[in-house]
Amino acid sequence: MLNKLEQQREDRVPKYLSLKGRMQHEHQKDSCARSFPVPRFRRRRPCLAACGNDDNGTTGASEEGKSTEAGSENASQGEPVNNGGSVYYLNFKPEADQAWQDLAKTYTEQTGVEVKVVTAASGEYDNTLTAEMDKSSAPTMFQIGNKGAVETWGEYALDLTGTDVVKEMTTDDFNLYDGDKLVSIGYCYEAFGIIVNKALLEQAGHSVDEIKDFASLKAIADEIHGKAEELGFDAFTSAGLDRSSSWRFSGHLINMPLFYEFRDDNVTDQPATIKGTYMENFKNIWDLYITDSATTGAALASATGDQAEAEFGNGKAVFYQNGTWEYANLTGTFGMKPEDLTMIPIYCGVDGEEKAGLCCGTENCWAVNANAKQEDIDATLAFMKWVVTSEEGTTMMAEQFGPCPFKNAKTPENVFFAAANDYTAKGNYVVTWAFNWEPAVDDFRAAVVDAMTKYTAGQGEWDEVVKAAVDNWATLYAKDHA
Amino acid sequence: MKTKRFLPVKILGCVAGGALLLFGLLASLNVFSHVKGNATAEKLADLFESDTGAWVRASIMLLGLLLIALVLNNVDLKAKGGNTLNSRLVRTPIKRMFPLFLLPTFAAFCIGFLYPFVKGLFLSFTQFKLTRNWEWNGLQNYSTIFQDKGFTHAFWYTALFTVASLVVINVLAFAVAYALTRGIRGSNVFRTVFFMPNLIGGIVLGYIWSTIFEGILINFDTSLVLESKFGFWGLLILMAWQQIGYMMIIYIAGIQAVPEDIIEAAKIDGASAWKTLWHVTIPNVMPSITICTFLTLTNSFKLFDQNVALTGGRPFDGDVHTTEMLALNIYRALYETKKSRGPGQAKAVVFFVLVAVISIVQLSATRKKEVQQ
Repeated sequence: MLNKLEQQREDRVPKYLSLKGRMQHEHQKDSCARSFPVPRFRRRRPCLAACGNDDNGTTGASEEGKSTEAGSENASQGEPVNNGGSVYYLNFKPEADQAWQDLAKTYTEQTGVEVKVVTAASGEYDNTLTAEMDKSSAPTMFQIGNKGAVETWGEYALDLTGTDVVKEMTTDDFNLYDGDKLVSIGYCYEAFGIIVNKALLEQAGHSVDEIKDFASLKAIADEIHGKAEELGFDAFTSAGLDRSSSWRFSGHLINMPLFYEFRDDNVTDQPATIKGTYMENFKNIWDLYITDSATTGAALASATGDQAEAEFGNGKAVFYQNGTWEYANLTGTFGMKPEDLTMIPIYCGVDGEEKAGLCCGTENCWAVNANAKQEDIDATLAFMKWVVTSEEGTTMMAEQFGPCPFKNAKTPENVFFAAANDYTAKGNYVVTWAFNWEPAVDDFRAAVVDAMTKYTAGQGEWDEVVKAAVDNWATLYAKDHA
Repeated sequence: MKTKRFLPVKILGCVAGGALLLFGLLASLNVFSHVKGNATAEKLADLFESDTGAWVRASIMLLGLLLIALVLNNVDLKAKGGNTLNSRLVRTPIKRMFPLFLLPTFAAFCIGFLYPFVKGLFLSFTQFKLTRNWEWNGLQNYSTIFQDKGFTHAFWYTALFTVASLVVINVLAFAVAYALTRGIRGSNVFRTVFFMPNLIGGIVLGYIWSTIFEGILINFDTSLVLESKFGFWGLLILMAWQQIGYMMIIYIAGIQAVPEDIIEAAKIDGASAWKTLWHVTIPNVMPSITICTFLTLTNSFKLFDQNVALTGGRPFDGDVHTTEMLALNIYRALYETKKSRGPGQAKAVVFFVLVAVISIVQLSATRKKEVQQ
């Protein structure tokens, strides 16, 4: 009981607690300002004679005083230069906080440019961003990760077209546009699907190659669930609907019906309504999750994400729906062997799904605050370029975020990405992240989760889930565009 | 006599202070940069509405307020001649220094309440994403919120919960307090134990109780977030558990202050225990009842943490979050869609008016019943 409570306290970080976090950040900001005095009276003046020495624009911390005068005019954009501007990055991945803090410190040591990294509490990014953007010292660099965020924050974002950091990119696929304006750039990508414990699957007398579509997945899962007691493990981890876990379904699993519907209808931008054509397939896979598992029925209403992770990590289940980001935890915290792990596509009984790949996309997209001071914008762009080109930056990015779409990016060791690449290499289609078009994300997901909870506990019909998705999409979209 | 001589000074000071205050306020609300095609306004916007001008704006407003306070107060004091303190030696220095004594509290009040309130009131008439970037929207926000089913539901739900918790908490708290003033062995231990839940924060309490309730309900194959009645009674139990101890302390103080001689007189007159309680004790603890009803009323009306942590408004019924109270509804509105912040702010203003009116009415109504000793 106590254990569960602790989990919940960690998982369900209450919304308004982030206020405290903000206050701490404020405090940090103050102390930063004291310990890293930045020359105050900087004006942008035309080039003086000193410019000549400074052509390449790279100046160390020791030369700070000399270079600052002309820095912002002179430095070619994107070079690490101390022009007196500073960087304030609002990070939204709590797990990467330490890595960012360390990287920021390294950068400050090397260039003298102050980099402040603030991390929003889990699930609190939007609230924190709203509060921070209202301040006079707003973040210069933040995330705009989906359509809803582009709608809200697009007007505050700098058009990144033609910046040095964009020139370093290998693909435009993960970038977000508002019309022609390049609002944010995808700095890494992720994949999700069904994580499989191959060792357990073999123990049950099957192999991953047998799973080719929904029917074969169901057959194997049913069989494992049938003899769960004698095997000592079950087919699926608990499909918990506590908010620490429900995003896996209201965000990620629902991607399947959305993706197929949009593919059929050639939808290329956030639609005002959805039809729910493939909601029956959503039901197929959901029913499988909640039947072939040790935890079923109303107990799922309060089952947490940590519970599911622990079940998989401790070898109590063969299948676990989650993403590439789980790799570090599974191999680290739970000490699973990488060779036992792989990821398969989510099959839900759609025609032709044997050719499906993993769900690849990202919500990790950097945007730059267009309203920041010019020298801060310059400093931010320079920092971004440094992160994706320098040895320290690329190492950290590969460790924390996996494969990144930049020329100098390092290859991460993560078997899930290898699996994703295998599927693409075999010519399978990539399932894109259609759920990034969910309108008013939090409310949409909450409504879907609520209906799914009732259905799962046997107190509601599947129709209500369909209704929750279809109706809420329409009403929330309308509210957003009223 | 002297008042007349100071009248022009008074008026002048007030007008000047008011002008300063208004100017600072307008600049803070970024009104000048919203005026189109006026050179003066643009200049003022440049000067006072920059990001770095916050201190300037604050100082202007504070100066205005202080000017008003100074003029009114100083003139009044001199006119009255003062009769509260007799020695001039004590009175004059304190009088002269009054802004100094006033400043910390006054500044805190302005920063923590007055300014946010005025700004919030202003923003409720606008459409905004960031508070410094608004668009005037007139009364539009107010008309939309009353068509919002979720909001009206939250209002009635809150009202219902407030009534229920008011009765439950006060009756139980009084009963416990009454029992613990009868001279039972270990009264102090009981008092401490009953008071302890108060020391735990609302969010933590919410999660603890949700774990407890889920643990029980799971045996019946259901969950707290599946039926609204569970959410309602769960919240009531939680609040009662948390608040009874606090109210109990206030009632104990009240009961102990009932004069012994009245009770003794009642006993001699042959009043039963029940009659003594009803006709002697309760009228005498009326001040405590006033305080406690006031506290439980506002506490329940403003309830937020426990509501978030226990059910978060679930289960839903279409647009309506069935166990969502007003504060949570308002909070959610701020982040719902990019267009919902203006209406959210309007909800907050309506909420403020409600809480204020209810509290004032309640306070004045109970005050009348108090026994003057």
